[in-house]
Amino acid sequence: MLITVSPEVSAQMRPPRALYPKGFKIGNSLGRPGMRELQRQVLRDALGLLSQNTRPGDLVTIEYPEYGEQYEPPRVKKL
Amino acid sequence: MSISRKCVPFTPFERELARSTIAIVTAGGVHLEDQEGFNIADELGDLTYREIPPDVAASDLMVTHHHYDHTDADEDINVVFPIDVLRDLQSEGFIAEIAKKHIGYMGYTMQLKAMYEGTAREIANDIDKGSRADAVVLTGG
Repeated sequence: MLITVSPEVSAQMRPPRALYPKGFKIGNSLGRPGMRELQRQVLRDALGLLSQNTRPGDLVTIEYPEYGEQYEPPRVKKL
Repeated sequence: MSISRKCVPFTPFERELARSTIAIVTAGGVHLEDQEGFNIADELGDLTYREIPPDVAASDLMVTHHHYDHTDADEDINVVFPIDVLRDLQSEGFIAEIAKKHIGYMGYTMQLKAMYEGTAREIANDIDKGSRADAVVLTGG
């Protein structure tokens, strides 16, 4: 399963199972440095997708308020 | 292992996580400090990848990647390569084992066909045959 902080970009490849931790910035797939409990929860949630009824390309978005400041993900450029 | 261009393969996962072995594959440019870094000077990117052993110390890992800000990963590699986090989940019984092999590569490339038909297949085969993983956690930068 994929943990992505670029949901629009990742969805183009239609990953079978993907988690978007909402508002995490690029370079923070699991959270911020040292936030071990948050990192554990993100990884538990991602692994949990293995037993859920996901569909390729439908990313699961979960909010983690403890992450703090939120970031806008990169958008896919329309040609 | 062949990869379909049209149909996304969906493999049902019927194991219990508590009995499963997990591997990490990251496009975040992670590698051991004593491994050759990725070639960030090549405008086309670097199609190679590095194997990372299961008993690696987080402090022995580093990032070579110039297409994202890896300041946070430099401070705590677990933000893109959650090896200690995986160990925590093993300790608490959430997963059973950590795979025998993990992979780091640099996700940036302009050689998409070579990445898709070459590197991606090699990584998949390497993990499939060499890691004994039941599932893989993929992360980007």
